[in-house]
Amino acid sequence: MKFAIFICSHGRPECITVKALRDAGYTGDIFIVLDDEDETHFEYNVHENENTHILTFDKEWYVQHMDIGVSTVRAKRKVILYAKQACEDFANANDLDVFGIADDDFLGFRYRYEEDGRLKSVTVSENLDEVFNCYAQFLVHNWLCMTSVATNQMFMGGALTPEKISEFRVPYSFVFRNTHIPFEWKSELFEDVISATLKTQQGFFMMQMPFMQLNLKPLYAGANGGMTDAYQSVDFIKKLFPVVQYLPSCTKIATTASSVSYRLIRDNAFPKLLSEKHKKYVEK
Amino acid sequence: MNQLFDDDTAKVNPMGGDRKYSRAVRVPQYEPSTDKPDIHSLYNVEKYNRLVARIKKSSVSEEEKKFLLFAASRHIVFTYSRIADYYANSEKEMQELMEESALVILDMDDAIANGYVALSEKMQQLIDEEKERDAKAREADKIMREQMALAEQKEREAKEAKKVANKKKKKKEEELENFMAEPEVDDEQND
Repeated sequence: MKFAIFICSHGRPECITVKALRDAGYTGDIFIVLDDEDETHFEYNVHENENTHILTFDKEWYVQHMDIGVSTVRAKRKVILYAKQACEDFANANDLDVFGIADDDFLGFRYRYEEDGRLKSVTVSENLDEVFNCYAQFLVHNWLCMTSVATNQMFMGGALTPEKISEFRVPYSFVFRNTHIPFEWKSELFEDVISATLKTQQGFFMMQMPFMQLNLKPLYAGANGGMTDAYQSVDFIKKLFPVVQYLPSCTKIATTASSVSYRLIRDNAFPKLLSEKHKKYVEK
Repeated sequence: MNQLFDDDTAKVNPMGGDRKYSRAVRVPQYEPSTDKPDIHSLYNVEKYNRLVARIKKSSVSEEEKKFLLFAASRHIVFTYSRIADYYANSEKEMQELMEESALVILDMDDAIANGYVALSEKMQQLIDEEKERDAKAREADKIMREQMALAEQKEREAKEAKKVANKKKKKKEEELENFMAEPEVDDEQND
């Protein structure tokens, strides 16, 4: 099975995800995907070696050809949407079966497991290849469109959390895509939720994996890099508008004391997965 | 491009095997109700009807109306748990039409559920291996720390012994110096 990981990056030549993956035992190909507007492009060369490569895509082409949900590119073009679609195209061009799309700020990986009624963890030190192999086999053999590694925030809640995580139908942060099922990323903001929900409504199953935790840099006020600028560059109405625009029948805008956010109503968003035993093969 | 993964993972039915870790495995299939819900409860057309009424009253062209009416269907709210309940209690033809519309996702031969159980078991095995490695590494670390502590202790003791020896040596030297500095007794005078 042909597999590789694409790391979408922009302006962060340290690209710490490369180290996080290698430290956890990933030995396969890594492609750092950069747009041709990245001024720090040459600083990424330090990562290049036999298994780590740099790919550059024509951002303007993707801006012109993708469904970004708005008529003007307002979020400073600094969004991950274009890079994600470029990863799809690179994966197809290289005849990959499954590929991972990662951000450039991953700190490391930990296994999560239940022991004595408590949720415990241990650092992944050397068998990440096998984990990715398992995920890839699961996707291809069962015709799944996409899955993902759960992030550290998702494990807050104790021993029952892993069971809950497997019910989540929107993979995000570190996703694994089955190349045999074509996928189109949409919307300049919230592209993960919007694209995954729309594809699921066409009958393609997706889920999150609860076995391993992805450690992300903690978010804090004034954090730099990534898509922080893009989300901060628009007010909350404009920011949340794409979710309502693409998914009007299953989202609600919710207000709290300090912020406004969207809520995806899962029962209105995702068709249920049913066992074949419920299917009738003969008329009564 | 590396051929990183082998294709030798056979599609097995793990449900019949050991379910040692079954507590942690939640197969992501929906278990439908045996009661068939009222078909009107599967969807909500409140907003759709409001939009349709406005479109119909409007003065836009017929072609535009047609388009807007199609677009208004995006606001129909479907309740997928009830749809799944309805599917499970429907006849063959209705089920097939619902499948074609992707109103449910059918797990043929329970492939996803079984695949997920197999995946969970493999992951548990990897976790156990990592725990073992971690325990060994901790044990090795503990032994190394103990050895380092012992070496430090010996070094401290050696330093202390050297210090005591130096002190003794200095004392002896002082005594010798004092002895040498004492005035000589004139034997003749005593006579």
